[in-house]
Amino acid sequence: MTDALHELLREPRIWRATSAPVTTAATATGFAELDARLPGGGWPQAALTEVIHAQQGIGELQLLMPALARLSRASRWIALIAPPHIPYAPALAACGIDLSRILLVRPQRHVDTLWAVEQALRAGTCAAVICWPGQADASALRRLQLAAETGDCAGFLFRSETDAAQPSPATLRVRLRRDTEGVSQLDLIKCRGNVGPQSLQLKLDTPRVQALPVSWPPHGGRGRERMAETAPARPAIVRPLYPKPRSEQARVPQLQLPLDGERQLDRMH
Amino acid sequence: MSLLWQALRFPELPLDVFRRGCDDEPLMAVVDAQRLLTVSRTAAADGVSPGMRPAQARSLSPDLQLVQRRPDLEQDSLRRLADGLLQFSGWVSRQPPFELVLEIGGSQRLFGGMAGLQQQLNRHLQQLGLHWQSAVAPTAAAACLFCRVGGDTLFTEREALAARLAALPIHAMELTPAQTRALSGLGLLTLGDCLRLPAAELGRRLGDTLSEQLQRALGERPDPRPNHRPRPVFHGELALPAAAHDSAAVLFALQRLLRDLQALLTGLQAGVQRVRLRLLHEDHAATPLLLGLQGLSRDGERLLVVARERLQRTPLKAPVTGLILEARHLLPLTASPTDLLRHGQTARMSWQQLTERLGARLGEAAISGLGTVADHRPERAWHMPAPASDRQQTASPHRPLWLLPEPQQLACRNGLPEHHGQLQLCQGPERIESGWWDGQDISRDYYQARAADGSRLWVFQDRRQPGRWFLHGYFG
Repeated sequence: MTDALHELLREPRIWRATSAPVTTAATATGFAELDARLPGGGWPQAALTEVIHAQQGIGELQLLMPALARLSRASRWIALIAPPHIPYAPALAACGIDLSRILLVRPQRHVDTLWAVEQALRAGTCAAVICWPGQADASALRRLQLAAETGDCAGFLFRSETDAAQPSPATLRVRLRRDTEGVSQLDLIKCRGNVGPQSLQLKLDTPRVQALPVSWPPHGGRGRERMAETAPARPAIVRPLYPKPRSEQARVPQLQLPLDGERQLDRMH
Repeated sequence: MSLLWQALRFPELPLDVFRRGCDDEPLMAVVDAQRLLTVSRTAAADGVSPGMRPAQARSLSPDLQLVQRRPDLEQDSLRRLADGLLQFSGWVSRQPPFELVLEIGGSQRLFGGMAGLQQQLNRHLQQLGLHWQSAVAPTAAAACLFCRVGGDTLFTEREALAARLAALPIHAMELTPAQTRALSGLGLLTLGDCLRLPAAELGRRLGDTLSEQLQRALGERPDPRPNHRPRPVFHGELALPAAAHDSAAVLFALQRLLRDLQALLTGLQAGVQRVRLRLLHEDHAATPLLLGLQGLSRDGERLLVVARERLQRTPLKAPVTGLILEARHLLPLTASPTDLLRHGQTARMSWQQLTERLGARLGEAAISGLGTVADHRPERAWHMPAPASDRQQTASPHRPLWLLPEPQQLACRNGLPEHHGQLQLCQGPERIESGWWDGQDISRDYYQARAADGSRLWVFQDRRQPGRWFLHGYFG
């Protein structure tokens, strides 16, 4: 009997909460308090993450924005599959996302959604695939998890509160809530390397993107996460919708040229 | 670099199209116009030979299976053969009914010299289950002539061409019956005999075609060969000599077709994800089978594994008499780049490949990029261009991440909007008044509002219809 049990526990697919955390590649979330709780210090790369939220408009997208802004500046793509509303381009750009790296997929049927998600995850073209899959059973999610591993792609699934009770093979499951005071609370329902559910409070509305280095040296690859800490923080250049009148630009003293063009731009804005 | 031509002749092609679908040599002969055209080895051992009448052959070998010639299958086979040979040379030319020539001077180095090329070519043809004769010579016409007298000739020196050709018998050339009679009347038995005569005199007596053939073989006259262009789809058909009752026989035949497919894909640098297989039966409708892979591949073995699974799960409803294999979408598949540092990484698809694949199933309209438009009206400040096309990006802070396609009217109480309870306006108003020039003008006061359940909404009051509130987005 005990032999059979040991046999079972040796199975690599079984993960025990007491075992040492698996070191996984991760992308920093942009929220220091959340990074500290997650194994690898961020959203797991090459795995599925489920974001469960009851209502819309509680900052569920904002939660991902710093990470997506960073990923969009790297060489790979970000796919949005079957979003429930229009992902609003000016707001995404304001979060620092490079829109030319966004692939918007709007399948007509539910079966096509799951198929498209699997293809996008598996292709290896996308750094992140964000999807709203609706109903999905455990075997479908298992397929998606394997596809994410194959394609080295971070898969984010937005799901409703009713799906929280359903077991899921996702590596990370978080639930986002917001109380009437506007304080966002994030519960880590399932997180490898963490024992038991945990909660933390996040300030989602504070735009953290500004402090993040979103532009990378052309050579990417390994050590990108480490570089996030050491690279000098350069704010994202956000062009305002209403540029200042030309007369004000003309007032920049001509004699101080040549200046570093970028720095000049920063000062002007 | 001088050109070097290899001629391949498939004299038993009428039989091969039936024979290659089964593992062992059948007792079989192909009949064309009431005469035996080609006979199998086992039939020849019984004394059956080409040219016999069917009744005579039956009397010699009572179990002999006689099949009618299928020129359509032969030409189809030759075309697929040429498709597959594109992996050895970029210049393959078909010469119906039974011949192919390919230029190998340019590609022999890639295969490790002439010996390596011949070895790989032979293995390829063997796997296809064909019988062939081959000859290599500096001109295409000479290679064909050597091939026709039995093949197994291989020389690359242009200087030796005339001497080598001189030894060939005259019947290697394509002659009309009148020309044959005239030549034997003149006592000209070899090509050497003809070459000794002045070309102009020979031409006047025996027609220009003969001296033209000789000049082409010697490389003295241009000899353009049309380049074979593969079709961008695959359609392979295989007739089985005897109906197959079990899946093993079907799989053997399928393996031959998959080799054809693999050779075409290698030549085209393409891959397939899905192929359609149809099993033909004597008196039943064909059984369709769809074989799919997880990713693009040109590996026939992988498809064979899938087919084996499918055939073992579903028993054959009737004996199989033939197979048709079709692949409609051949998509570009380059060899996966090998990276020094990141081992075990899967080959990454380009975004074009991904969008192609998604678009193939979901429709082109379902795939797009995302971009901004310089317009103050929120519903017009974004658009869906083709992916990767939009570089111009205008960022607008204080905008919600979710926009509703149509503003949704909210209920009101005491002049304030409601959405799952009373809304609390926290920021605003931001007045947007624009668009008088195209008749779609708006005049709205936008607010950020907080709902009782904690969600943040983007609402507006229409200034044209005071007191009416609308929901236009969520701060997701």
